[in-house]
Amino acid sequence: MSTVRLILEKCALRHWRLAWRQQVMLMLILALGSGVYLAMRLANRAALAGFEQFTSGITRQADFTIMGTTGSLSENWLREMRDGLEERPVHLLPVIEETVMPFEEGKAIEIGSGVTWKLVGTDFVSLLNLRGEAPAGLKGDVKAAEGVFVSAKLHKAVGDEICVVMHEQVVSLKVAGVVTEQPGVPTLPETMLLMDLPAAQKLMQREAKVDRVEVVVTRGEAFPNLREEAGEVLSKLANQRWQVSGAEDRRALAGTMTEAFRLNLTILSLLALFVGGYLIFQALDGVVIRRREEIGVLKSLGVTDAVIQRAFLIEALLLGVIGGGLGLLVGWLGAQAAVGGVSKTVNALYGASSVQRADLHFGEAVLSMSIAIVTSLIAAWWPAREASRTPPVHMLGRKAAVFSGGGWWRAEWLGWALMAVAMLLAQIGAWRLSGGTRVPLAAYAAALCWLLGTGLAAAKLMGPMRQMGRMFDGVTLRLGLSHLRRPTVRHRFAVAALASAVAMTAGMAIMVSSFDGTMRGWIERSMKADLYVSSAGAQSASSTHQISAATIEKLRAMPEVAEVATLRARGITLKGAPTMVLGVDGPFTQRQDAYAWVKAPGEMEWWRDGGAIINESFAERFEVDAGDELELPGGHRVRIHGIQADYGNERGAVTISEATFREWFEGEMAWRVALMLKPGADAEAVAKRIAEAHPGLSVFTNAHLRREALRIFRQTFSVTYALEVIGVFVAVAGLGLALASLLLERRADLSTLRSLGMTGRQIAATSAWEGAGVAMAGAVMGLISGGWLGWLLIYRVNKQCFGWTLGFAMPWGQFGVLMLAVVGVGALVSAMVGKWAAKMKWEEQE
Amino acid sequence: MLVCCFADSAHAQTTADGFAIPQKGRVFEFPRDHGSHEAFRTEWWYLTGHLDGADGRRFGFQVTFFRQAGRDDANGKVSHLHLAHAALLDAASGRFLHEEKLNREGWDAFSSATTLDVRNANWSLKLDEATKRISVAATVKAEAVLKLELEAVKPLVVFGEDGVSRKGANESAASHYLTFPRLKATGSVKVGAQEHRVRGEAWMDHEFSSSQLDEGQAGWDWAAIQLKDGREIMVYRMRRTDGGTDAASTLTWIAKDGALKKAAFDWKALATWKSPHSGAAYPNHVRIESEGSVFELRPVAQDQEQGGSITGLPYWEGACDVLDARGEVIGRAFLELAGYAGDLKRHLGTQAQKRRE
Repeated sequence: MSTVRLILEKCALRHWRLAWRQQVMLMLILALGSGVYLAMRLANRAALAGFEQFTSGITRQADFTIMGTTGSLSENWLREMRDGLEERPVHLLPVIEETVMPFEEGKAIEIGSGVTWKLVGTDFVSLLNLRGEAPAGLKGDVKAAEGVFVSAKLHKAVGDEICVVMHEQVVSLKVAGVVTEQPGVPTLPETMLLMDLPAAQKLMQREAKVDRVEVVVTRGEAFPNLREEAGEVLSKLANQRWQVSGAEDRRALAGTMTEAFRLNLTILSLLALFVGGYLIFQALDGVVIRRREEIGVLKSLGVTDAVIQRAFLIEALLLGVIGGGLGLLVGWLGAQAAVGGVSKTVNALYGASSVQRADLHFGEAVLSMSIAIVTSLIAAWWPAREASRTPPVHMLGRKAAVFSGGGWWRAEWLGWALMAVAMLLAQIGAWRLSGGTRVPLAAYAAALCWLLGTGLAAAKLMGPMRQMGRMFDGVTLRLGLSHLRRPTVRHRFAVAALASAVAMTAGMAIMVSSFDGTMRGWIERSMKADLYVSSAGAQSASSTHQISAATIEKLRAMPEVAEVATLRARGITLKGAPTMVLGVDGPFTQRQDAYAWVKAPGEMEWWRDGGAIINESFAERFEVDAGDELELPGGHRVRIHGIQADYGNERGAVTISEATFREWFEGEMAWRVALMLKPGADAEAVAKRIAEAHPGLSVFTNAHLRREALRIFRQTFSVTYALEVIGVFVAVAGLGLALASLLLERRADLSTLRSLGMTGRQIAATSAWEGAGVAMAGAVMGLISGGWLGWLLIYRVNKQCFGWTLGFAMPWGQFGVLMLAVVGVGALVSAMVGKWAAKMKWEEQE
Repeated sequence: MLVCCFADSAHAQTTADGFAIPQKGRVFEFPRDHGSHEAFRTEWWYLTGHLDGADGRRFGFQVTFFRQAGRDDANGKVSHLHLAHAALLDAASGRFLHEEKLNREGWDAFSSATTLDVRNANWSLKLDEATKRISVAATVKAEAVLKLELEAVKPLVVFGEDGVSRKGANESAASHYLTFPRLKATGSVKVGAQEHRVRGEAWMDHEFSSSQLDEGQAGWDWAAIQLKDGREIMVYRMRRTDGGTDAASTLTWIAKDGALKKAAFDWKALATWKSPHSGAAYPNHVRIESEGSVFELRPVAQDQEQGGSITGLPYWEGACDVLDARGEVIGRAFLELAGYAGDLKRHLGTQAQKRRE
């Protein structure tokens, strides 16, 4: 061990001092690799914490949650439940809730970017029976009924006023109490405003109605099987009016709703780490090369191979620890920046989140450190083995090193084989989870195989690059590209990293561009009204904010309004999965030709006689097709006549006629209202008037809503796009490091070239051409490979996750920019490395 | 069933905040008057009793349903809260299980205005008009279950003068006080996993008023004595804040045939038990003398304190044996000691007392 320590002190640490910039660079690379993964993980968790907080109950651990299948639960049904339970000691806590949005006078909110709270009404008196199971500090003081209890984290005092938008109304609430955190009792989330039930019912204009009942079963010897019994009794009584779900079902449901999204992020961050792995290997490989002579001397002095290998691995471990530590900082900082984006995406998709702080947990810190250390050790293992096995005479020799290992990396056939495997994997369907969630696991595996294959096969393109060089005259060009005739493993690594990163970016660009094109077409077709009105609190496709019948009438009465169409919506649970029922004015949609059909209905007036249409997501999630019959909650049967393209939500939706909807789902309030104006009416002016008269309403002109819709869609991809950019950055940095290693190896050649009169500028140019050649090969392969990856993302990943059919669109412009950027930056970095190498004396080690 | 009392129209009809004051001569109609009287602020259906298991196990039980009305200061609207207490004493082990429930009136707690049908969550008390049987079901924290059928052995009695039971000098400190002094009880008691078939005797008070405590009163001691010879005694001592006994305190003998007779009495504490839970000192071992008879009420177990976990009003309510002067057991009783802990006036006092709080 003392020899190892001596080597570390005399060699490793000396190198660290002399070449501190490189060491810092290496640590930063490790920090970046583990940090990006950590950042995504933290941001993901923080966004989900907000989501889960939104779906969690009032009580610590409700045994069951009862929810209406077609809407609210009537309080009469609650009495039935109580009667059915007889003397069983089961506590039934009624809860009513609405999403609300903090309101500030004159502040316009973009859809999906506003903070959303839950206003929850529950029986404060009943809660007293559940001490220890509900947030502390709530007194059963009915005098405080008109006020709300808020979390201390909201920094409000008793008596403060809080203005919120509920449905289309601006409502002023008064803080009646501040609930502080107490050990051992559930805390009140800061996104929840708690109100006494009768006051909440009155405020929400839903007297004698509740949204759910939290069922808490008392544990005791006298009722050994009470939980099962209670669940059975309540389910038996339901008669399709309500659904009883265990706390675990509810949590699982909340989880499955975002499962695909979470998995996407995790896999994408792992893919970024995969590209980062190339870079770390290249960097550590460079370290070994720079110390060849020193290793040779040590071996000549009798130091064994094992000691040398161990010393390198310990050094790698140290690098991993420091890099991992920095990675924690990078990850945490990155998460703070990313959490907003991730949260917005979750919000836009699922409509129930709030921005949470991305806290770092011990487990995650350990995981992130482990990633840095393990990656560093794996990446160092091969170079360390090379260093220890190479005979001293080769080490001390000044000729270019021949990399003995990595034979399989030279096997281009393996690359083609992996790509073929990827194509086969792409034919496998999604992995179906409970709750209608589908995870395109095979498609992800195909993407990984494809990327690996692309990397291996990319070297094939270096030959043609050299051929291209021959077409031009110029010493530096020919000399630079001549190195690609027989590419070394390092060339292959550099081109593989570049090709993988470019492929990922190109694939993503194709998907975004395809989305964009498809969305534009869909919006063009489906958004034809002059004005769209919704509650200002309606932040997402699944928002519960609605517009009252009275307000709709007021809009209808406006002199400029020619026609009013309403869209009614109700969240339902079908086969254990959340989805939606929509009620529309059938003739209006037909007059406006509002639907883009995937399968056009055979019946022109599809809404008649219990007819329905579904969207693609619904068809995919519930595996139903046109012509099928479907039973909706409440025992209502509909016949599916057609399937429409709908990029509005990924939970799926069944659309029925407005009249049927009102009859079946208590749909007096509208979710969205579309206004057709009379000829000559100024949409902007009418929008302004409506907004002034109803501050709780969001009014969008047609053009504005189209812009907003596209913005939300782009926002959904912002996080994944950022990851791809990091991937390209890492790959270009890897190219620079690979060239630095190659040039270090060729120190003797460089010295000879200088002796022959080659200037530093010419050496830099030679290096730049070599780098440009590698970059070009990587970029071309990456773009070609990205084309298929784009296809995979659109027709497999996206279709299996969301069920949307998209038109394929190639972003040629973006491809051109990407190509130029990669080749240009690659050449620039290579020139800089060449310039640095030209200044180096051949006997220098660093 | 119709019980008629004489009216005295010279008295105030309502309290300052609009709740009814018990009036003499009220005509009681049944089953309607077994039900709720929402014009009055406070009402309770108070069931206590003694049960013997087929296996020789002895239990004391209490199931009480309260209704308390309140008027919203802002809109004057009256709303009702329903409180309920249940307790079970296992005499052999001395284990005393008790629980309190509070719910606002609605789907989970109510009292019918037409008959005896009271509910508080999973606890219920209901009269079957056809069979004249009362069924009661209650649990204590999923540790005990009490399911009984009750049948009146003696007819309902109405305490007080002309249907009004006075609790103090103030005319509003009074109640309508109806009682089934002896009910035959059959059913089951489950403690833990063990279920016992039981029989026994119960006592049920139904009392409604708008103020139970008068100025200067701190609480009351109450006892329901069921003698083996078929007679019963109802006695309450209204305690003044200075420690004295209020003049409104009453003892009533109930003869075998149900005839009522008010009599003078002497109440003396023989021993005091200090609660380790609330710290209150309860004189729960007492001697009552009336008309030459001596009754020693000796608690079956010391710790029979209802915790008052929600209301913050602990009180002692327990099963006792009744001994004569020779020390022989001549009956069973339930003793209630209220106002030794917490602030009873705040809940059951006069409007003036409440305002001062």
